[in-house]
Amino acid sequence: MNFSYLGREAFRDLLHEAVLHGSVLLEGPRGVGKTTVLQQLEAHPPDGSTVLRFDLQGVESATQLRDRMAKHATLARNRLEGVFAQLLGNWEPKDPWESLERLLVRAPGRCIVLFDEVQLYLDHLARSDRERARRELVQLDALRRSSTAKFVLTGSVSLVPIARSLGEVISPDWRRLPLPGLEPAPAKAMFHHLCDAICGEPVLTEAIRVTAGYPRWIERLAAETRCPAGREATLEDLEAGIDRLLTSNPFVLELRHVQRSSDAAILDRALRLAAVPGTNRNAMITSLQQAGSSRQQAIEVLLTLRETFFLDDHDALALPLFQRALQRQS
Amino acid sequence: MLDPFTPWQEDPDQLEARTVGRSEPAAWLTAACDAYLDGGSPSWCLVTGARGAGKSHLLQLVRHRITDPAAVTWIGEDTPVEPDAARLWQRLQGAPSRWGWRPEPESTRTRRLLFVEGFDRLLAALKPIERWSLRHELAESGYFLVASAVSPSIATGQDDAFFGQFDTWSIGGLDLEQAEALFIAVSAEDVQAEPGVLKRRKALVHLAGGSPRAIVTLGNAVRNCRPDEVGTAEGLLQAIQTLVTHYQQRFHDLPALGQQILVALAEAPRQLTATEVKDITGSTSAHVSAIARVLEAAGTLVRTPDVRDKRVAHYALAEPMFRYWLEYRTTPSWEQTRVSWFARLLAEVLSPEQVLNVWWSSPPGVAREAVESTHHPVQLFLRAMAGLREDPSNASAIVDRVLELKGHDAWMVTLLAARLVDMGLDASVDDLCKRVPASPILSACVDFLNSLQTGDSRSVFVRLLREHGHHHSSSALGWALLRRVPREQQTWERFTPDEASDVIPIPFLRIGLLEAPWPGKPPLLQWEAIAEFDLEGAPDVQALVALATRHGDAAIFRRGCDELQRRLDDPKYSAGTQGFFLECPDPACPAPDSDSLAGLLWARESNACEGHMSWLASCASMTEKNFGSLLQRFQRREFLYDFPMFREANVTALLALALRDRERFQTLASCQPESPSIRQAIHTLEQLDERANGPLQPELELVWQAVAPPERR
Repeated sequence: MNFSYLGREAFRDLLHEAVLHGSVLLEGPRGVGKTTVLQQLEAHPPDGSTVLRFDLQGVESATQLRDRMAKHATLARNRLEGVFAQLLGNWEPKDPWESLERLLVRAPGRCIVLFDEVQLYLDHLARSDRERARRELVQLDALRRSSTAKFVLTGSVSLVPIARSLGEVISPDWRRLPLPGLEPAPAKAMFHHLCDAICGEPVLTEAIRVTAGYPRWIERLAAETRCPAGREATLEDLEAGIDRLLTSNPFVLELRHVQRSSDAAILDRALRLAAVPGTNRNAMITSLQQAGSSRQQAIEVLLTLRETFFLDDHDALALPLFQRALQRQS
Repeated sequence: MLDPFTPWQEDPDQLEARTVGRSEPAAWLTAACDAYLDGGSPSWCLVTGARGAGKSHLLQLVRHRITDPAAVTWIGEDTPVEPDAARLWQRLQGAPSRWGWRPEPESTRTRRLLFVEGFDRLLAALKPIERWSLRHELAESGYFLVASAVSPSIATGQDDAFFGQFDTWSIGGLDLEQAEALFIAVSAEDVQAEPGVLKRRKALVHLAGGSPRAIVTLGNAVRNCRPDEVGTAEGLLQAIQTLVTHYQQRFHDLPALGQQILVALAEAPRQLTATEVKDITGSTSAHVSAIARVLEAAGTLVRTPDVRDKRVAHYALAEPMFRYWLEYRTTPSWEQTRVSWFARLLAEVLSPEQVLNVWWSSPPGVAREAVESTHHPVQLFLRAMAGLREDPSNASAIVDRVLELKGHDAWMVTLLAARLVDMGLDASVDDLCKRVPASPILSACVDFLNSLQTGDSRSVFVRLLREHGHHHSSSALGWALLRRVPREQQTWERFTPDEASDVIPIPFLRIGLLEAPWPGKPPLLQWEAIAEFDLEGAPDVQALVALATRHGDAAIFRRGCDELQRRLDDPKYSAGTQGFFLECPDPACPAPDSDSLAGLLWARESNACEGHMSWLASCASMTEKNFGSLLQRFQRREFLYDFPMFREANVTALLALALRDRERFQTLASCQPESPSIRQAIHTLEQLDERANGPLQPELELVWQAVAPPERR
């Protein structure tokens, strides 16, 4: 059983409905369960639909993406009734996006294509060739108009700030679906099930608060929370578990993403300001200006952090566990 | 005059008119205030920025812009601090003083805005617990607080009472375009002013950096002083003194490392890299980088990436004026450095010529000494000579100035004497002679002037040339003395061969003596006396060549041309002052009627150089480059000798060329549009062109007859 999908039936229905009517940007921070949602969609497609899921991590070009899709199609010969496999020989290598379209137009029934980790693909391109990354983004944005398939794009960074950094704008035609953390009840159930220790309500509540209901962090914290046999875990045991988890430097990917940004220094400063207890938007904007940024820069940095899911709508750190990690570093 | 320190005293319209580059923070603050007055609950607002950045200006601007200005209680910058929150709160509310005075009229409004300048200063006097009390009072009162502070630190400390309470806008310096706009608004100069004013404006804006207060102060300096360079110099001194407190406060506001960085940059002769700053200050790279970023945001420092390696940044002072202030305030041996300090300051703003005029127009003292550090004594001497022409009655003071020049040379004294003689200022010549007792040539000069009374001036003149002919300026003095000979005494016998042998080696003077020194009188030297003279190295060889054409002396003409040709290959001449004589006369383009020209030039107080000029004018095939060099040479000479004859000769020579080859003249003239000689020649040419419409003025008619081609006369 996939626990991270617990309690997300309503979201699944919402996604099904949305994807039947148009293309979707499924947004959420790392560890919130986007990939699991896609896997579930792939495993239980809407009636009459064929779902193809592709992870763009490690993909370096549209041609490679197309080839990966072709390979997938070959492997899924039976499910796709061999249509893709018949078409492989006719692809035009010079225009992977067009050949992708031609591939999809021959697909039986309604086709839903899921692209996971889109931001990694664009980020990889942008590091060597910004213009190429921009062109690919335009192609991805144009997928929403495809008459042959519906698309779901996901990534742990919203496409909106990526597009802005490349000088482009994502079309408002995309349906943006933010994926929240698990509801408290299924989240507690998941922690309870995964944790070897016996946990009472206070521990469960604190665990879910710290992890904000993100399945990945629930799973990892549950694995680190221990207590001697014969007694119930206490909040101190949970704290010890959090310490063990943070010692393994679990947010290295998030911090690396910040460090790769052109505004790395100011983003990093803003994150550390956000980790200060009692801070608020005013304090962060003021402090960033004190450190030499203009007000406009400070506001843009907070917006970027919101769009990359570090901050919530109130400009507080969305994941308390991440806040703890930053405080430990400071 | 705008007060750069108290904008709240300014008329609102004027305040609006000179607001530059603050539209965004003003709109933000106005919107917040209006939102509060409309019943909203925005965050309190804090405007931060370095001293003089325009915080008070911004607050005052918003006070006039909001929908209900009367709702504002204004707490000025110099409100006394209180150690007690309750007393401070009482004061902020505008409680009546002991004498019944209250800063703002009492109001029964329920929504009031509290504008507090220097809020950080008021908070600094309170203990932390008192700050919490003050925050509580403010929050309870329902006032909308709009504060200004130098640093946002009052709202960034995690444990501070006002942490996170302010929506902040940190205003930095103005960029160059905005700074110039502000300067224009303050100085009331024309946007499209003449080039000199534009240059001065750019220099002053550069000096001020982006600091609005410094810009306003310098704009005032220009606006309130005479609209010339002297006024600018006086204004600059006042501006520095006005800004002493401003820079001092800003300096003291900086953290220790910030002060060290600024001093390092002020003392360095160039921009410094972060590594150099780190080494000088003995700090760490990270610390230097962090403080530099703060200084940059405050508009105190400019950081520019290296053109070759963008990882390397160069630091420089954003406000060069700071450097002058620091030197002004910290130099221990100020009396010794004061002069060069002011000279450098002037040189930043004014052109060298303008600095020279400042010196000339100022009383002896600072300016005179200052200008000596930027000008060679020769330049100062030449300016003094020009001053003598401007005001002959001031001759005595000019003699003083020349003799006070550091390194004044004997030739300067002789040239000054020549000029005094030429202007008939005999008393000043006597005075000069007494002031320089060790100068025999001056004594001989006085003897000659005395001899004019006794009638034996010729023998005294010959003796003077014999004994002092080797003197560098004997030619100028000799010529001036000749011009003083009364008409009735202009009956000198021609120089004997023995006398001629003493006179012939004196360049330029010999040209005049070979010509007629006095109108209608025979030459004092026979042309034959020059026949055996060695022309090698003669500075007046061009004039001798021109003279040879008049005398039909092919031998001298050829020798002169050979000498000029030789100089073509001689680096000493091609690179030196004779370098412009790169072409020999063009046989296809012969000299104009030099007799007519000489007569004309003489009539117009010219001298022997007319031959020189007419020869030059015949060089119609001269290249633009050489022509430019020639004009520069002319201008130097005009300045050097300060005799009108040079200018007249230049103009006439140019005119001759223009009449003979208009197209060629226009080509050459277009290369040197700024030359006064060319401008005058063009003007005269335009007047001559009017000849077809009627008779010319007598003087112009004479020019026409002298220089126009025969077929057009």
